Amino acid sequence: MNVPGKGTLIVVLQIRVHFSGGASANRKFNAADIIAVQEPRTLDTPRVKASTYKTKHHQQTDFTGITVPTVGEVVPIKRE
Amino acid sequence: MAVKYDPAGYAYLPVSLISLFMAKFNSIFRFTGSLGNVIAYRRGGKTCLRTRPETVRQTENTRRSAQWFGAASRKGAFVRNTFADELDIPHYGAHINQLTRTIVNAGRNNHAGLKGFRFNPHTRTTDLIHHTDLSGDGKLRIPAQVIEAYGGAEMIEIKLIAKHIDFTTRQVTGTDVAVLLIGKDYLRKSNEPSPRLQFGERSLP
Repeated sequence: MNVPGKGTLIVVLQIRVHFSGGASANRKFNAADIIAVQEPRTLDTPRVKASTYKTKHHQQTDFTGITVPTVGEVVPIKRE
Repeated sequence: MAVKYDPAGYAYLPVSLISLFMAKFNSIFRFTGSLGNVIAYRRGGKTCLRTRPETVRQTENTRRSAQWFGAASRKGAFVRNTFADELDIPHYGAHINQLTRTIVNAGRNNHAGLKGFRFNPHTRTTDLIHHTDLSGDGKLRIPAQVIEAYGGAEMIEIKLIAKHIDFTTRQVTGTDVAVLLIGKDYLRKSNEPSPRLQFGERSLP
């Protein structure tokens, strides 16, 4: 398909079954679906709100300054 | 039932009886829309009457939701009307609500959410032609396959409609339509193991 113009491109596929008397009106033999949607390359793209949850709660914390290494619940004495 | 007849011979019910039921508008001169406080609307092929609500209790959220629903409804109507001229399938009614729902669920400006929408909710295109493939160059490729002659079909018509729609100005800026007809010799009848002629790969347009 060669469609000039601007905006969103929407492609619809329609299939109809014809009998000896012409196109059927039976809903089983008629179909039309939107098979493709192409957004323009401009600012019309959907705005998705960036989640701040990860940055707040999933930051890797440096625990080295909080915990103290122990050996059998006894804090080892640092060698000089 | 206390049916009365006016001098012209038309039957009517006293107002006190009408108020017992949902008001139906049976007059010869009908209208839809609002007339003062009275609103007439079509429902199931009948014209009904209701009065405008005296007060509406809305929070900020319900107001926003109602406005978004209204916008989605208008957009759905625009999409339907845009394709109405090219679409030949009968109107099955239910697609009006379904298109609005699809737009509401997709979110604002997310037109990609329309992909997969069925104008006939009962049948998919893949139910009739099992394999199709829209390639990047804009061609619809229909691979070689066995196509059924449903109920003794004489022909299958495949129509591809492409439109550029500018949703900001609500205008159609371009349209292209291509049609492919598949004759009955390529369709497999239910009492035959294979069709008379084998359907080879085709492309649209």
